[in-house]
Amino acid sequence: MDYVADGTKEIIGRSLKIPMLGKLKTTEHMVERVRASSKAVRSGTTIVAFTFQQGVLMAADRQTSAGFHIWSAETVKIRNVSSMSLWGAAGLVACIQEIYDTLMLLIDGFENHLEKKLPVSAQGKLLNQILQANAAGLTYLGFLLGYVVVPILAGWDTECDEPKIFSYDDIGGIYDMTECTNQFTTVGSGGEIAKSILHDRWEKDMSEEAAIRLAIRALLRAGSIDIGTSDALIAPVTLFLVRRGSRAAVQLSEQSALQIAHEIFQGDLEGRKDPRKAFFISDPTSGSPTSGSEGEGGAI
Amino acid sequence: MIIQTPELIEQKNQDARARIGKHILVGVSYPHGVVFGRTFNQRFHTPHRWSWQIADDDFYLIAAAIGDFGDFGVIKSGMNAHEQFLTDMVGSVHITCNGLAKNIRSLFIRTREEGIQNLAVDLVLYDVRKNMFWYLNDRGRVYTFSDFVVVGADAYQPTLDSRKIDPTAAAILSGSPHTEDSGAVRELITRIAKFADGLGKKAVIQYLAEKTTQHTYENRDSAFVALLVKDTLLQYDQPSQSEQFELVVMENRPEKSGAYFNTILELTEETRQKRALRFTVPDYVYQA
Repeated sequence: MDYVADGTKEIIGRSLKIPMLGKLKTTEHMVERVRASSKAVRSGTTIVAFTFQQGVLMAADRQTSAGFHIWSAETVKIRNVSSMSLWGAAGLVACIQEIYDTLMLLIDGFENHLEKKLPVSAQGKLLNQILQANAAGLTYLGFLLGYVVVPILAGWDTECDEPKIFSYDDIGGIYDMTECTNQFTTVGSGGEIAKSILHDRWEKDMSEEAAIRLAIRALLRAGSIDIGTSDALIAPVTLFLVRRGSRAAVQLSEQSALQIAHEIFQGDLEGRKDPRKAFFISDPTSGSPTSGSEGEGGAI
Repeated sequence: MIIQTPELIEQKNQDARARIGKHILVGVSYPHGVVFGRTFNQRFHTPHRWSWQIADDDFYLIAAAIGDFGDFGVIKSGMNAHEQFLTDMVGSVHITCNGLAKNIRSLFIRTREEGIQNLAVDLVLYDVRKNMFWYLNDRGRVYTFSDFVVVGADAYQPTLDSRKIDPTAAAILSGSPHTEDSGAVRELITRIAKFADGLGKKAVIQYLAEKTTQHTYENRDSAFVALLVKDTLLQYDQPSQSEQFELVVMENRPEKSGAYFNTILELTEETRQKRALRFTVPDYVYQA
């Protein structure tokens, strides 16, 4: 496989080429871009994905940040790749969007060519190829910026009838987490915090309800410690479930996500006999979720 | 550069069909497997040369071909490159005959349009998971069949002998100056060709259709299918004294490992007289 002049990686087949990411064509171009964007929008994020009994879950916070500036607190970071697979990524927003679009383009192309739906295992391999094809550019940016784009792909493999979670490093290394003892992965600036929660509490055949609570707990902790992750008590966690035998991924409603986050938070305060518990409103939909009644003080 | 005229293309088509030859290639499927059979002539080729596995370790896809052995290499290398590409990109288990057929079809068409000769190969792909045959002819046409397939055998069709057809058409074909309406002649030739095409195979197809209706897909096993293929070849593609049959069996049972092997069937006088048609799939193939 050779690199050709137009920046695409020529592969057999006329329409199935892995495009080099448009903005990263040459070293000079990259240096220029990095210099020009020394305040580049870097994404502080926490995304978790793990298996539970008869399914896979992926959850993410809502914050996009640029250094110490919160760019948006409403970002939905999990996207569907197909009806039974989910994508989440940490890193530079521009790169994330470009790699996602490239992945979708190639999946479309291959599905048309092979005349079959690609399951999540094939999608994972395809994403690996995209990252590796662009490894040079991504490594260079990664060297300058710390990290560039680190995706997670998770879903239910309808052909093998088993869950799949693929984790990647920033230059295209692929890890099938479902082949490990700990079938979970995290990514982003708050990923390590969330991972420590999962290490403590994740169980292989946990129920769906327990899995949802664990994911929200992990994001709640990450949000309370990591500056790049939104507070799950304020910005509802985005949480998707892919269940075995279902037709599509389902999303937990924002209201439920907030409610569970508040329940977990309240439970923790109660356990610690924290006086702030008295001022916390349990139903987030009935008013401001973080304020107590006026005059009594105690807002978090 | 070759100027491609309709006449040249027609000539190339006929040349390709002639090179594909008089013999037939028969493939019959059964649950989790398929048996291909054709004549084997030791003078021309070594065993196991006309059929090959696709995506080697998976035992899902198989290709079988009849025609010019010189062109098999072109097809094989094209398929190998495409297989490798798909294996790298999505994994070998996701390779489909649809994808391969599209890729190889373009190879057939490109060769036909740009080359001096067509690829004289009738290619059959089979997917064990789907019970589906993909048949690609030398013109790059793709046909799909289930249960069984019969390809090759174009020497069975009557040649376009001008003495046997309409006198006007004969005059035209022989280059008579009185031929002005070439469109009508072409239509006539096409009609004759259409009639001729499959004439030799028609009886084989009828025979196999009858047999496969009696023994439906679910009720067939490897031994029965191998016997059926052998029987079909004996009845409709009787080889000369120097020729034998070669059968290729590919199987992929969920509970056992896959199997892929070929067998040269010795043709004794007894088997020629159809009194000792015995064929069993050896057990050792499951031990791999």
